[in-house]
Amino acid sequence: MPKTTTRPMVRIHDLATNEVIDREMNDEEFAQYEADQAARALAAEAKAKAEADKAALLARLGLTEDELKTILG
Amino acid sequence: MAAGQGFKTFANGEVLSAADVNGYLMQGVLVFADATARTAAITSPQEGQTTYLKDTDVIQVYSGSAWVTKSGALPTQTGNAGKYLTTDGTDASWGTVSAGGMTLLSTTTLSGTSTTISSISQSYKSLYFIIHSVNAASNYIIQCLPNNSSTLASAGGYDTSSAAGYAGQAIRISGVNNTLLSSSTQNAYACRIDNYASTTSLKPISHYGMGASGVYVNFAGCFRSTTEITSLVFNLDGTTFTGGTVLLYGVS
Repeated sequence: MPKTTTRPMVRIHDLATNEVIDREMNDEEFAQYEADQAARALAAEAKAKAEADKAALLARLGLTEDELKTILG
Repeated sequence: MAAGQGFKTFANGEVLSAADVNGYLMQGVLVFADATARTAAITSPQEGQTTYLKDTDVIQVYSGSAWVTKSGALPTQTGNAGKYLTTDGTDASWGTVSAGGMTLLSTTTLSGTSTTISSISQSYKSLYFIIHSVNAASNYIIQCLPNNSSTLASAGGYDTSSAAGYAGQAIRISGVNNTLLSSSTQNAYACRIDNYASTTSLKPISHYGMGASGVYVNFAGCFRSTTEITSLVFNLDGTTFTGGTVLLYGVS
């Protein structure tokens, strides 16, 4: 059955031969790529939640971020 | 009469003798195939006689006791292209220029989700690379992973978006958390990795530069591995290169 999904491409410049090869990720590379993507998604989600929590707290206190920094010195 | 008699004004009608020819006229540069041919032809050289030897391309003058290559004469240039002229105080000779400085190992155009420069020569003391004009499909952070390791770099330093360093990550070339915009190629960074070919020591690293966002970076740290670095992997932490160049140098 033909592949329906194209994997991301990688480039390799081998200085021993000065050959440049462009190819799809192999299995190991693709597994790491997907793991990295998942980790980034989790990090982005955590960062977005932290920003939202901060904004909600400031709103509850009735302060802007600059006003809070002024108070904290 | 032997050679080397200096100068004589011949009068009209004067008989030209063998002695006159030998003494006054045989005073040009005499050309021989080699020193052996010269010795066979001139059995009793006179001081001041001048010869040219075709095998060594030198002019020599008889000092009264020996044939001497005159100072100022160049040694043969045949087969000595690229060499420099030196002297031991008596004779000039060609010396070989020693290698030094920076050698451009590769010029690599960045492409795909990662670009690897592999089979890096182990003959230098340090690696130095410049990465510039990077562009991507979406906003990005430029990273470098020696030997494709994403967990062995540690650095402390400064970028104008954050004064914190990074640890246990790839080398964050464009800064700790500084995201470059995909709308601009106005960026350039340099990175130096010392001791990269060592199999016993860690590798000091430093990198600096700036992107269009105006955030400049200046980091120093270490690649915490005793394995020699044979490859460098460049990626954008999740997005795809649409442009950019890496110039990799070996530093002697």
